[in-house]
Amino acid sequence: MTQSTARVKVPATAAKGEIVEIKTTIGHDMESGQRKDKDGNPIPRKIINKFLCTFNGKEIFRSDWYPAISANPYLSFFMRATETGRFEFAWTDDDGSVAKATADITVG
Amino acid sequence: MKRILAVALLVSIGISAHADPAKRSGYSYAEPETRSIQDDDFANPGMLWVETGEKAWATADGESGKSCQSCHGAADGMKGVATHYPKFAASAGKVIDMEQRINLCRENGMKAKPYKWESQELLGLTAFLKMQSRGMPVSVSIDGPAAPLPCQGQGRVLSAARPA
Repeated sequence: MTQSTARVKVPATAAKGEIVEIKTTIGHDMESGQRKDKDGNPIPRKIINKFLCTFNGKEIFRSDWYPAISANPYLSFFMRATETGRFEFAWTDDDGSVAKATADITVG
Repeated sequence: MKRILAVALLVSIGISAHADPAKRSGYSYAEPETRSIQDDDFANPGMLWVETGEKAWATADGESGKSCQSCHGAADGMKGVATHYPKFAASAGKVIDMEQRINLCRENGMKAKPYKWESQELLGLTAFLKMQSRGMPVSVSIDGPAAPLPCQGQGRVLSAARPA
């Protein structure tokens, strides 16, 4: 599923002070490094090791991920909506590549 | 595991009321938590394969330089098609499932290599095609050339039989 892109779901609008749910998912094999191929050689670890979400440039959610996280990880969290702005999401892969997504919310 | 996920998505086919109340979608047996994941396209991991299949649908491959779309047009034209599978195919001379149908198209129409069984593309295209029939009742023909062979249906008898 490595070819799949990141997807995010955020309500388009929210009332000021409302608690909104932010849902994210990304297609990724999350190869743990613990498995062996059919010749007995270890399959190298390749996982997303960091997730970061910023809102209007300010960090609002960060998490470090480890090999026990499943393939195609789904993550949701909540935020109190206080102002209109843009979410930016970044998933950092072991190989250094970063998958990105954005979403906008209008508060008022 | 991947196959289970892709198939779990497809269980949602056939939710709509059947004429025969004895026939229930497997979906109706699932826990409410499981159903809520399946109902939410965002949370349903099977949708990742639907995306893969959507890309594969429009991607040309093989010596003919054709994609699925070249012959079949837009995917919504395939609405209802998946409800009839598995189905007897005269060209194959046997009952085939959706995956085999896709690979027949690849070999005969596109002159492309058939997808490997369980490959992302084959699972994806199958999920994508079945997605076009979402909510429609399954309508598989079991008469004519698709009728069970005389030996089929004997499994229960054989299973219960004591060895001599």
